[in-house]
Amino acid sequence: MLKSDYGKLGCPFYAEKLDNGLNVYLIPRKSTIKSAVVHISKGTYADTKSISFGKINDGSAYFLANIILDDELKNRLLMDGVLATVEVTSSFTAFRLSTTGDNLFEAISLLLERISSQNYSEDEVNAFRKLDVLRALEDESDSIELSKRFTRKALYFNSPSQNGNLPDSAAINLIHATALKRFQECYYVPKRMALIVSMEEDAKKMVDEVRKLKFPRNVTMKEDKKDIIEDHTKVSQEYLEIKGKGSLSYFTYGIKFPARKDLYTGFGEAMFYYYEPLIDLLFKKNQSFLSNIQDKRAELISATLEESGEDAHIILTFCGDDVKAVCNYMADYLSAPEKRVSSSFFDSYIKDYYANAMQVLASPYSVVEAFSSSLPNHIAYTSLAAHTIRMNYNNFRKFLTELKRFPRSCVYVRKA
Amino acid sequence: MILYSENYGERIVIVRRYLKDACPSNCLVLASLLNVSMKTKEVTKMLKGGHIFFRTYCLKGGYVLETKISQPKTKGLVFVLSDPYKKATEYVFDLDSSVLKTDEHSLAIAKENALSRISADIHSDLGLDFASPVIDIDALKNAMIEDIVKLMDEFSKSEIGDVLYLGPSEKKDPLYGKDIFSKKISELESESIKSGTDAAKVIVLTGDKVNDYDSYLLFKQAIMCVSKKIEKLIDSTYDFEYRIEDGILDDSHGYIIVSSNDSNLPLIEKAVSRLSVTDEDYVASLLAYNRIELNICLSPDKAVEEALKLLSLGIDSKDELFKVKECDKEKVVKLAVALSHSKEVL
Repeated sequence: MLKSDYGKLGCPFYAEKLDNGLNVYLIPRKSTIKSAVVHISKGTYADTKSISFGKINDGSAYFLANIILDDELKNRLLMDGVLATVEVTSSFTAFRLSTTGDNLFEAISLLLERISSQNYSEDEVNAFRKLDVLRALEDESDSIELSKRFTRKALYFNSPSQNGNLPDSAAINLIHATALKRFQECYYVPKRMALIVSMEEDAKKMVDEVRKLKFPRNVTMKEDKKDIIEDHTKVSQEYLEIKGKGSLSYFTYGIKFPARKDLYTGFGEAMFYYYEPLIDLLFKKNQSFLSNIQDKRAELISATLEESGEDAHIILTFCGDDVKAVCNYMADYLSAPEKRVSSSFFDSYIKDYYANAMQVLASPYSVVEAFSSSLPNHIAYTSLAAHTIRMNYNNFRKFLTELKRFPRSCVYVRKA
Repeated sequence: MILYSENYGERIVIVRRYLKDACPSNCLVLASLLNVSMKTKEVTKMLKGGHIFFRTYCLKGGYVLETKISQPKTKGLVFVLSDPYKKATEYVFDLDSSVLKTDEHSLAIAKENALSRISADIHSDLGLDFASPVIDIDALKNAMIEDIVKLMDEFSKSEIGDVLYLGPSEKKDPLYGKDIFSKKISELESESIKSGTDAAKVIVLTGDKVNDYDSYLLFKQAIMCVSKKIEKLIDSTYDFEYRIEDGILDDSHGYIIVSSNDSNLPLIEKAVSRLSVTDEDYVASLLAYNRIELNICLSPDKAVEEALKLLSLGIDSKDELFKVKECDKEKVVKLAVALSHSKEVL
């Protein structure tokens, strides 16, 4: 076992690779909570064309995760005092189990049993489809979701990132049990999984328990990837206006980043540390930005940085009617982003970030989630937090300077 | 009450000041103005990763002004609470009207924030504990700064209140010996629910007096058991939308609120009249109970909410709050049966 310790954070963790290729992360914490994440390194980013010559449709990762952790399994675990949830992002799928009892490993075992088996039929897929169509139709008539969805489409030419995280009502109808089983056989295997466990226990004892678990077999399948040709220097559409069904107008402003490999060439692993405070410093907690937006009679209602494959983009959603005034302001604001974050604001934010990281690390429940979220970038959360805390203001400003060159789109969903 | 737990990585101190008689609109403006008054560079700088927040709600027939200060436990940073609560006492314990911003602009912002956060719901209509007070919007808009300052002074002088610490164990007393209230809120009599509303049927259940944490948990799950049975009865007979929730009213009463369109209320009453709890209803209550108890262990907000309920009842859960405690199935069903027989539909 390899021990990593970023002293100031007071949260050492242990990493071990099992013979079957499974990566195990063990994080001892003083708490009554015991949590684990079974992490699958495949999310909704639909870059798979076919598996074993069978077509794979968008939304397969999302459907499969919800069919594996269905209500029956959730309730069975809950009866034993274990809370089970699943999160499906574009980059990964994470099944999280938490309890205050002594049965965490039994719960992991039960979940792995379900992951290893394919005991579901088209009927179960249809049942989930019936429910999920309602979710999709609701999303499609929601002006906020609509503006985000069309902004992703406006940002990209060819990348699966244009389709967002959840399947739309048309995609939902194309998902079938046979394809899900192929998807499961290909991706739900130890070499593409990780297990993260956190509890008040010695790491050696935890790894002994992990070794007793029964994992699925590693199977090598013929995986055919889509040809993704994406020009990251421009967007597919700069502005789009559509009529919504709601009583308020919303617009989403998208900022498209260069391809991940190009940013990595320029900044190395530090790019991920810059991503950490970026949204808060530039938008969400930037008082000058927020009050200027308010002056345009608009309100920032959400701001996120989304990453998948080679893509990354910022999605800012506003409520308001004067889209032109906000777009003009955004153009001006982003013409010199390095001037928008003062050194004192940066320092004070980093202290807050540190405090927040300490809170995340305190609880097994949040620490397993944080580790799972940082795995797609091959960084342990403690490393990410420790480097972010030590980040140099001038280097961060250099990264901000780059932002002015990133292409942008805006989608306005007008009120009915 | 002091509750030690490493689960949340933060220290939380809550001080509740109680007044039996106050203008509810002014209470809302006061809490809002206190939040506005704390937004100064000086306070922000001192708090760093911490937060201070004020709110007001109904409790035991009166009003509470609650101050909550929270701070992540970190190493190497000087926070307001890191020197065990010396500076925090200024904000939390020795609070008086001198901290209030009394200019017109701050008062206007406070009123605007209070108006946008009015969350009166069925709990308010029923006057339940922890509900937002029912307010007169015109009175809120016309609130005068002199009255708000006066109300703050009244809250400051109140000798009824309580204090909660929730967070990692400390070598010293985490409350710094500041037991400033001569009378605890738990010593006050609770208010009973007098009637339902046009949009809800309220079922009041009466049981034996809850006097410790174990009997509190048993009471809680037994109420859930009755609630789940009512849900089952409605679902098996009717096809309309409704909302059901349950809770503990005081140390010997529980409530179940079923809200729906007024035309459905007689049907709800009819379903409730057929109420009869059996062993089979236990499973549904166990799922609900485990979900709620686990969330208390996982979320600091839920833990605080539960700790405040216990504090109001005068029950000290000690560290048991942070581990899901199972209740005996037979006892749960037996109590649920007894509660169902005691039901009073309002």
